[in-house]
Amino acid sequence: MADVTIFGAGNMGTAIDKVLNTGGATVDHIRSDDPPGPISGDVVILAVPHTARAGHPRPVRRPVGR
Amino acid sequence: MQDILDQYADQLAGKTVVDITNPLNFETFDSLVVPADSSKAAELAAALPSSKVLKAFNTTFAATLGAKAVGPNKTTVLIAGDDADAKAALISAIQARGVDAIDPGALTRARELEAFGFLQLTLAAGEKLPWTGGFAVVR
Repeated sequence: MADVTIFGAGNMGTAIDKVLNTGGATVDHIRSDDPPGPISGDVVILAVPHTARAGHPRPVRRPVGR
Repeated sequence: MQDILDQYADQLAGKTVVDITNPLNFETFDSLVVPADSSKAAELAAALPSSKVLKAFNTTFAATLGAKAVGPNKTTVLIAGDDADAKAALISAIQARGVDAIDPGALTRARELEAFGFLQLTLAAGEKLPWTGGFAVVR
C-alpha cells in the first residue's frame, strides 16, 4: 500500500518520486503499459505528458531535465 | 492522459490528483492547447468532480527537483488548488525534503501557472535557459 501513486516513470515521475520519498511516504508508479489495476495512493500524481496514450510510452527526446 | 481518465476515473474519486502538465502544442511549441481563459487543470477538475485536483510541479524542471536548487536558489514548487488541506499536505511533504513550496491560490491560478510553465519551457527548448536552471523564487 503506497501513500502516493505516480502515473509515469519518466524524468518528472522519477524526480517527484525522489522529492516525496522521505520519512514514511511510500511511492509507487503506474506505467503506460501496465494493465489497469488498483491505485493504492490517496495522492495521485499524473506525471505523464498531456498527450500520453496507454501502451505507448513516449520516447524520451529531450535532454535530461524535463 | 485521456486513457488515464477513461480507465481510472472511478478510482480517482475522493483522491488528491496532481496535474503537472504543461499543455503545449508539442508540434509547434508555440501555443497551449487549452482555452486562454482556462487550463488543463480546470479541464481535469471538470472530468473528476469528486477529486481534489491540484496544479503543481509544472514550473520546476526535473533536474531542479533532483538538485533541490535552481542555480544558487532553493527550488520552489507552486501548488494551486481549491482544497486547502490537500495543498497543505503536499506542501509539507515537499518541504520535508528540503524543496520549498508556495500556495499561489485557487485552481483558477492554474491558468497563470500553465502560462508561466509554457514560457519557461520555450526558453529552455530555445536554449536560452538550461534544463538544469529556470526561474527561481527568492524569499
